[in-house]
Amino acid sequence: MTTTASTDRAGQRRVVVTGFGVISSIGTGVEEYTEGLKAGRSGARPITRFDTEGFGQNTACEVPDFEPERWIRNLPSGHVGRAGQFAVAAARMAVEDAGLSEDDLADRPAVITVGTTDGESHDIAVLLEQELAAGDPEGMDPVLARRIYAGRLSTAIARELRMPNVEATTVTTACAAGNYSIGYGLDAIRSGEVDLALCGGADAVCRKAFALFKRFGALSPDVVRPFDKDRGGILTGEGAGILVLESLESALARGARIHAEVLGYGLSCDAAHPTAPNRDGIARGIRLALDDAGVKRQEVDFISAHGTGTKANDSTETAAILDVYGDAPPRTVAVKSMLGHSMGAASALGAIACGLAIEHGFIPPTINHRETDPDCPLDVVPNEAVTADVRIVQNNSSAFAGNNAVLILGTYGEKVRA
Amino acid sequence: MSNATAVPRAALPPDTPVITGWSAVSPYGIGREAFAAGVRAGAKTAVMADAAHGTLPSPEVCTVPGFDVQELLGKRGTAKMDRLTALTLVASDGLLRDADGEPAVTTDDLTGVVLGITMGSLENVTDFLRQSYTNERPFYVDAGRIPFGSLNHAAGATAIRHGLKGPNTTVAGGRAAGLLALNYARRLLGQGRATRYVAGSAEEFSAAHAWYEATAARPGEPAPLLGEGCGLFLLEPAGTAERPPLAAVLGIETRVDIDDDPFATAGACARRALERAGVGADEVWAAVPCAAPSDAGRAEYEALAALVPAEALRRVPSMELLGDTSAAAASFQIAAVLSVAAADPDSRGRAALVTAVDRDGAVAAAVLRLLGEDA
Repeated sequence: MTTTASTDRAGQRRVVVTGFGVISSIGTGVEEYTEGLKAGRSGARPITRFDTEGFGQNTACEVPDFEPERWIRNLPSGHVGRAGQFAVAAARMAVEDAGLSEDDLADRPAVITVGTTDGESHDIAVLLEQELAAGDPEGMDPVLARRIYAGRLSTAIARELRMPNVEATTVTTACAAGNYSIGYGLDAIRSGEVDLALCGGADAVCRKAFALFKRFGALSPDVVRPFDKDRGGILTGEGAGILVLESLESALARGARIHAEVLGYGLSCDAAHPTAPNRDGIARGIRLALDDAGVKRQEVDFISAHGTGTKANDSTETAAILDVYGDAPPRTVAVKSMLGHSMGAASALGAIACGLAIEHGFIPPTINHRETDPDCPLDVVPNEAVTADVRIVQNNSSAFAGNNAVLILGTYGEKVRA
Repeated sequence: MSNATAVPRAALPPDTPVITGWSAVSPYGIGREAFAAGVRAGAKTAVMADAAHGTLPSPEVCTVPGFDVQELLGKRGTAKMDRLTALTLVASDGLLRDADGEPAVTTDDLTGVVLGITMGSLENVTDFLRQSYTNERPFYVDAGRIPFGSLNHAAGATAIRHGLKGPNTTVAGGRAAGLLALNYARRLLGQGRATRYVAGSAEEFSAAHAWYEATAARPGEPAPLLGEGCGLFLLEPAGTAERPPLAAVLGIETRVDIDDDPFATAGACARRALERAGVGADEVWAAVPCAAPSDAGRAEYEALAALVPAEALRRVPSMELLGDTSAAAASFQIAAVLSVAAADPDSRGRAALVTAVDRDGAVAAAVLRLLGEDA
């Protein structure tokens, strides 16, 4: 099979992924994460970040084994909270995976863009605890108060990696922010203005998200079962996924190992409802992404769904997929069954899962699956990963406020361009 | 207004992004006219804070006068709306609707929205968490306020209000956010993802924000005087713009201050922006720093003073007059340049430099070509 014609665009710079950095509840680092995806590992465990007394449940997908000092060397102590630590550590890991030293980075122009939903909202909660304990806002800790703004997630990476000549833009488009960030990196490199981008997403388990989804009735009482007829909602999660994007010329010139090619993406806005998912908006995002990538529907080997495990998302997203793909859609999996909903990190971790699937020839499973919902007639690759020749993958994401971002990754090299 | 001829659009490459409209909701009042008049007069805006804010670290604030959400936006859907969203929606009406409330700008499925923020509505998130900590159960929180707590809500609500289905994005970057948003719009226009953009930035005043800022201030520094508001621009490629351009965005440059040296970083950023735009430092007609009430803000001013002609820095009254408007600042700086330029025919064809420094390290500079108000 050759798809050369559909993935080469005249006059458009090609963009490839040369580095992955992963902090996740099912494994830190590319190898552990790959193993976790293949094994169908679950990241669900008791919450340690905050006191869950009174919530009636205490499960989330926290990262159990995070050692910030392994990755963070240059930042002043206390410069970032948990979300920032995740972002910076994943960025450090990604540039090491890409084989880029600090000397290689130095004054090089680049885009650094981290997507997030809640940023350091955990710190905001701690500040409020301090205020309530003191009975006075003057009881708040200045170190925390200085680090609660989301912009720092991206500037802290520049500071840690000693990269002053960058655009550091944090994208706060909630639960689609990871794909947004990768798309922005793609556009920045395609435009020719830079040939390097560090992009992805980061979020940390926090009381805000837990209380919000509990109040919304969208928190699962046990595990996450996307597309299952008995699905009961999400588990909140955390982590970071950062990708090193590079122009193909830059990657080839330095002999970099190429994980995958970023073929394109699409952004659509529902302009309809502040929280409900929208079938037409999602379908439009998918079509825009396929168009941008120059990919035909039948070329997509699997879809990494937004797949949160809520009633509303999974049936709406399925309908949108069927609108685009007809009655025979590609296999559609939900890595949130393993990772929970890691919010701004979610679609970045999803994109990395897609890249690893391409590289290692497998499709990650949708775990905790018992019976597929008749409203979601999809092959969700239930419970066990399958071996497959994966060439082109679509990674979906949607967010409150009607924001959809869909990313298309493809294999780079002779597998596609035979 | 003047009869001087605007620079002909044909002189611009067709893909140059141009600003063809703007609006502001600011401490000078609601709308573009109030903002322009306030800027030209160099008026102060600080007032004693409304008692409804409770105890504040500093008694004076620069809030938007007469900003009654329900009066401006109607009762439907506004009872629990956060102030940040309300400020943005009122500014969007000023940009996209005429005096009768009818659409004044052509929009389609490729009309994008990008809004720069700091951390959304800090009042919303703090109140939400306060309920979680103090109510009978930790999830007995006001569900009606939840949608407004999403950091991307204001941008999404703008899309819903005006039916804008193109790329809809929220970027965070404090005082640099307005320029990051403009750069985002420039890039996506350049890649053909949108035909035109509503781009700008917004900040709300709240007691929560005031206390975080006061707490974050270094020992001995006074609590900063805070402002608020929203500035929005209509950005289109010159070749397909439906209205006469007010200014062309010649370039936006960004850096991160990784060594706590804002003087060097702001200077390098501004020099590079001018160089890329092909504008000599001595050609700058107006330079507008963000005037942050901090060492970084003072260093930024010094860096510009060492770079551009002294009269350029005097052309636009200091942004201090609006208080520290954080994420709204950079959009107000651009709006201020456009306001001053509109009243001065000598501005036509001249260059303006707008810069920002943020506490989190982001530094940005934009170079505009002023093109005139008439035509």
